[in-house]
Amino acid sequence: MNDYLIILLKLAGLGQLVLVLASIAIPRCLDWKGGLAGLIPLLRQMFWTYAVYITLMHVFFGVVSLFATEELLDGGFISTALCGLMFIWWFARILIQFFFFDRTSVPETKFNRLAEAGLVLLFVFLSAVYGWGVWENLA
Amino acid sequence: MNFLNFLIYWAGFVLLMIFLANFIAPKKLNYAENINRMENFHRQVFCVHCGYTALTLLAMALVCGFYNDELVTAEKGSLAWAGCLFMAIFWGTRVVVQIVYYDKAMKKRYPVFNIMFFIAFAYLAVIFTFLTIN
Repeated sequence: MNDYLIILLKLAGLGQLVLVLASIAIPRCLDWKGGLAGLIPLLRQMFWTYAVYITLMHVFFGVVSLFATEELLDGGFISTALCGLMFIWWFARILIQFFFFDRTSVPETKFNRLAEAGLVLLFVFLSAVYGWGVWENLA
Repeated sequence: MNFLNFLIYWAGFVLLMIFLANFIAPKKLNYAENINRMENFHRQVFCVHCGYTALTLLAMALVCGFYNDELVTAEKGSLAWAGCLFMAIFWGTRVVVQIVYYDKAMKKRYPVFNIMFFIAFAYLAVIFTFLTIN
């Protein structure tokens, strides 16, 4: 088993758990409350519910990567599928950041610029690590 | 195929139906008009949330369909078992969200959908909890 990949997967797990903690600040930084004010209650509730469940997925990805690292590389069906899902998840997130989000409406503060750079670097790192994980499982 | 395999295939079917409901809901709940009231960025975040939720549902449905045996035979502490535990928490809390958080007026307006979703979420919660503790 590739020792470098094990270390990188653990770092990826840690990175996702840090992202979960940082996510607590996102609604305030991006003024979700104000932005959702015009919605009917059900859509507002759905927005928050989806946000929480996506965060829950990140917790799952983080915990599995950190504590079941070797199982993630055992070459089995579940481990390959899970690495594949995490690769698709984070690679799609890079594409969304550059080709879907209208970043002009986000305030151009130094903090926001740094936060975006940090997030993009994390997404690239996660995509690369899980992509390597898929490759290793299939090899 | 034993009865538990059948129940997991059925869970996969239920997940696929919930996934498909995500394509019907925008028209039924008039997403277009509602989200047009939001700023562009918030609208995009909402769409991304919908997309990732759909991806999660599809991934769960595929696991139930194609990795059925792995879920049935999952040993405590294995990756498959962790997946079952996660899905048990996911759907267990979703039942609670449906009952206590979602808009009561809307549930009254669409009682059949409300009951159908409740049954679907409860079924998934029970199946994955059973797989976790079994």
